[in-house]
Amino acid sequence: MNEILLIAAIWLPFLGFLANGLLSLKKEPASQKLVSIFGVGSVLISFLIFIFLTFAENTAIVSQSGFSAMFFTWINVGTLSADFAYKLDGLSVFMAWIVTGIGMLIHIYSTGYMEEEKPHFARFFAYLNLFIFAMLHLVLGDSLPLLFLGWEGVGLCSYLLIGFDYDKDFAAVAGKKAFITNRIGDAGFIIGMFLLFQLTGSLKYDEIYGFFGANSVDASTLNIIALCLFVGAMGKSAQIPLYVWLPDAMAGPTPVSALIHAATMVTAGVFMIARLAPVFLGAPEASTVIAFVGGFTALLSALIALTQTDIKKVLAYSTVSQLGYMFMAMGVGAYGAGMFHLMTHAFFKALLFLGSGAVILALHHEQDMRRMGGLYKHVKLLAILFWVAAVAISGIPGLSGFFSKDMILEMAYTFANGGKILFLLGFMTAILTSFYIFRLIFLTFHTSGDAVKKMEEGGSHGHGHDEHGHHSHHSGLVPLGWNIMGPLVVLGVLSVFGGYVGLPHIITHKTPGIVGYFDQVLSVAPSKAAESWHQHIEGSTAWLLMLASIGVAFLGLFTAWFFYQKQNKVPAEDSVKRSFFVHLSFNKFFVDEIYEKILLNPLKKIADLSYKIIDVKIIDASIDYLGKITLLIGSYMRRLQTGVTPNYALYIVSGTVVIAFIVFGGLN
Amino acid sequence: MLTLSILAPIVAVIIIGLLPASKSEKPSKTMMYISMAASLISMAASFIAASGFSSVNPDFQLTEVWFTSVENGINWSFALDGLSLGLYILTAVLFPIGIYYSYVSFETQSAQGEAIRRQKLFYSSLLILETSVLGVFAAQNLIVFYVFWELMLVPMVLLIGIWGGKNKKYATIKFFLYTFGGSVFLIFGIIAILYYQTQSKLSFDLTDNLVMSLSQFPHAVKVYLFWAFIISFLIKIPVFPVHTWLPHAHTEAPTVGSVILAGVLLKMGTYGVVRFSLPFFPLVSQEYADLFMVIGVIGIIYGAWLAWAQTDIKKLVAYSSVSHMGYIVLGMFSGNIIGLTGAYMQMINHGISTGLLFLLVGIIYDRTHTREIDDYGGLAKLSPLYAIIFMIATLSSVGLPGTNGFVGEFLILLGTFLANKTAAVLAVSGVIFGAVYMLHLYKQVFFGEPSEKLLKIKEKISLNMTFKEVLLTVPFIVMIFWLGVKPGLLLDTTDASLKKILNTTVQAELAEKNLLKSVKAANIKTEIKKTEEGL
Repeated sequence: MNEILLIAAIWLPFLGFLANGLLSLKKEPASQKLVSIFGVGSVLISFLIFIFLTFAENTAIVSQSGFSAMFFTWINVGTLSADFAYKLDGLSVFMAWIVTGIGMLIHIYSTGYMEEEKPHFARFFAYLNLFIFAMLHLVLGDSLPLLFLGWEGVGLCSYLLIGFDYDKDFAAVAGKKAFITNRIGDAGFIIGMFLLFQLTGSLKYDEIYGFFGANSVDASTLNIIALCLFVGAMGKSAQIPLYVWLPDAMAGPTPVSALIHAATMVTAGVFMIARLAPVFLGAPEASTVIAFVGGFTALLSALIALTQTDIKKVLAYSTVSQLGYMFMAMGVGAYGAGMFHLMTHAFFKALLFLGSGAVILALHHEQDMRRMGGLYKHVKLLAILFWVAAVAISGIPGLSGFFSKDMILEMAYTFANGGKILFLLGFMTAILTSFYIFRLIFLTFHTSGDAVKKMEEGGSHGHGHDEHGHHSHHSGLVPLGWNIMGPLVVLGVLSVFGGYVGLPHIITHKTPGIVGYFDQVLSVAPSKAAESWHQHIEGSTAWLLMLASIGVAFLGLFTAWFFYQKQNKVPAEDSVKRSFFVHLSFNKFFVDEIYEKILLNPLKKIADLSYKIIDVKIIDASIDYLGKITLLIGSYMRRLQTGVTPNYALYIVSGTVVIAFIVFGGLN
Repeated sequence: MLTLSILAPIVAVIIIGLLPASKSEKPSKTMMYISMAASLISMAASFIAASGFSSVNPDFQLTEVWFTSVENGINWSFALDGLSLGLYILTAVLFPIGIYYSYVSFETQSAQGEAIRRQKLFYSSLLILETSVLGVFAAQNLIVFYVFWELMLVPMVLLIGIWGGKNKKYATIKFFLYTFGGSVFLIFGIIAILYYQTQSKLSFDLTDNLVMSLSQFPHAVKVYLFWAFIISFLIKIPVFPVHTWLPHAHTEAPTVGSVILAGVLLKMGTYGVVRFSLPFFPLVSQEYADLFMVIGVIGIIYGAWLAWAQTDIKKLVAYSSVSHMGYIVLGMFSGNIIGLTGAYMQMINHGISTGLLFLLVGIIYDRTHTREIDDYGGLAKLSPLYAIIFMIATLSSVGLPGTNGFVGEFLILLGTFLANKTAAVLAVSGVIFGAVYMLHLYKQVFFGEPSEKLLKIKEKISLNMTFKEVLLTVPFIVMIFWLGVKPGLLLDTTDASLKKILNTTVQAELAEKNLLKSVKAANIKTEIKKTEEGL
């Protein structure tokens, strides 16, 4: 019975997709109420089922094998076997709660946010439901091929939703870029999967875990497998060098940015590492690489976030940066800390994105922070919620982000393999994070400027990358309904209290709850397996580290206040010449341009030249030459084409007869 | 039932031939009905035959004998095994779709004031083509196979040469010369078998007997024979560097020609490899496996890159075929069941996804009369349903999990990986390039604001798909997802036969070892004799 419920929870969003997909095909826009019921309802029921199963099957879920349900067989060839079978265990139930829980909140929010998009309302919810369906396969599948099905499935939804306004060229380009960049990662992931299959003989988690339980594999093999798999994570979770698609992905509607490009899909790489803990924990060198890639990604993208003027772009780079923190944690073997940050980040970043969506909506689709300011007076509750999220992400004590980030920084510091450098990367990122997020808050909600006035005056100003391009009547703020504010309040509460599942050990003198949880439910206890990766530090050092990170959080807040509130600075217009460093940051270190110049353009040129020279001038021309030698045959052939039907019939028959004659006659 | 499905089209050709000549330039319903009836009967008969198929039996079954000729070893008998069943059904399903589409297309053209000419010959060619392809897949005898293999050439040459585009003459001659050149090698190989055979009576029936007698040929002869067979197949597939007939043939062929060409004719080449090259010359195939892996990898990457460089939609899809066929070559020579199964699945997949792509290109071409990618843009806004169906075909083509394309590609890559890591790693890059060219195409054609050219055309004729056109794409869409989530539907039928083919390799290896042993033993014996004599 509960097996059926699990399958239902996973497939309900698919039914929602089908229903809304069909509704989107109607000539007249479908009833928004009906679409909302299918869209929100399917995810809500799915969420409720997961709550129920968590309690009903509690003992099975936290056990090693988990609670599993088989739906139907999929691929079964030779020794390879992969089914549509699901595994609800300690790790996947954690993810399922986040995916369906936050997913549901964002679905509700979307009913308000997309209200004006009448002709595309059903299509939007169809894609969103399909996304939840794919994401549930990613986290709940019991084998790597099924994970990969979800992995590529969420990539497809991401592609479709980034390019949701497909008539806008930049949206279509961004969607394509996201899909192809992800495919680069997927290529690595596929090879990692193959290596793992060759090693363990299976792609089912239980059999892989069984193999690692029974055999010890040397680190050099696992390093290669882990690195290949991590290439996949670089794509999906936007790490250097494959992060470039995520900022552009902001071309999609804001709820999509919150759900897919912040809270759930982009964390798939982190989840995958936890899922394959025996591989990654057995690969210390690869793990070190992962930690440093995470650290550098965190710093680089935080540097870029400093000077962005589009509110969503700031949050996008912030997401890349926070994902970097998570990989830093996974790389140093602190899986509990990484998953902890995954969760808290899902809360506060979803809140930030949905909040920015509310701002954008209220301001008739204005995204440029230079055109904002003083919104606090108009939307107090929204401003307060934004402050909550900002305090949470900046690492000011008490709110969720503080606990998870602090845990990561401490674990990085104690890492034996270059931990001090890692800590420094994370520490610098923390200063920058606090600065850019409060810069965003001051520019948007405070300063002496007034967004409403700016909006009413400046109709001529470019709309930045406005995702919808409404030609709205600029008169006052758009009121925000309960379906917009409700989910924000819930996320606000979660952002405040979400951190208490992982109180630091120096306060409680116990292993933080969430760390203990993942030690228990993962097939290999990360704290034990990675114990030798860490040096012991004194409690006083730990206190010092914590105080230092609290200090920089306030430093960032103060600096942002000083520049943007006290001195009332507004970032310069695009055309203004910036100082060297700001110029670099503002232009994202020209990474996109570099990729285009050294990778994309040459490849395209090679493709064009191969066609024009190798294919046409060399291969095909030499065949033509051969053809000219047999010109006689050619001219003869042309004469055959008389165009009279009986002639052709005659040729066919006589040809057959001749062949038959040769064959029969020749053999006797 | 097999007889019925092979002969029904021929009967229809005779009936169409008996129809009074008409000078009408309107699409002829009568001819369409006759052709449709024949191809639907053929399809139904093949389904009925398939329902009696036993998937545990690796050998030919459902055998139907026309006449036998024991003396010269040519039995006109037809049968299916796990290797041919899927392709046979695919053929039987594609033809009615192609025939009905042609009629719908004639209607669209006629509505735009174009004259429809030579319909008698058109339908006859299609029907003869159907018989010959079905015959190729159901032939149980090498000679019979060859007869149908050659027969196919005539209607295909007519289809491209008469109803083709601007450069039809050039494309036809190229297609003919290439294919005919390949066939010369094939017939040479067949004659050589006759020359080298030692048995008093050699049967060309595709039984273990033939395999046995071939295995006794001297190794050098086997190598020559192997190349004679495979050159013919490689041209038909086609692989790099003998692929240049394909872009011309595809671009110039009428839509139905492209659909059939991509859907089943190319598979005759890969089918030939698995049917003949692998079991006839197992050790030689193994010897050259690395070479073919190289050919496959080059095909995948080269085809994908060249697809990216195209400005003509049909040419782009044609080069994507070269890339996809590269995967099949890899899988066929992987030497393990995972790779070989993947290759077989990909033969069917390519027929479905590329068949659908060509059909869709044809549907829009009937209205716009342009294949230049630059003339398009913003089509998603003008024809949303068409955009969705094209997206499904695209996803199948790039091998997204959940579609059929993924299963085939994944099995091939995994099978290849187990056989040859370097080849597999290089081939995986095809996963990236496949997305590059297909999404490039999709973006240029469907996204952005509608192009002026399309807006102009829209004033004259609706760009939305008609109900009939949508109906034609339904079987493809169903198969894309069905095989994507339940590939067992196909793979269960092929498993036993494919395993048997791989088994011939194992047996041949064993035989070779035993042969070596017996040679050694003989040598030792002579030496002993010599020593004894010396004493």
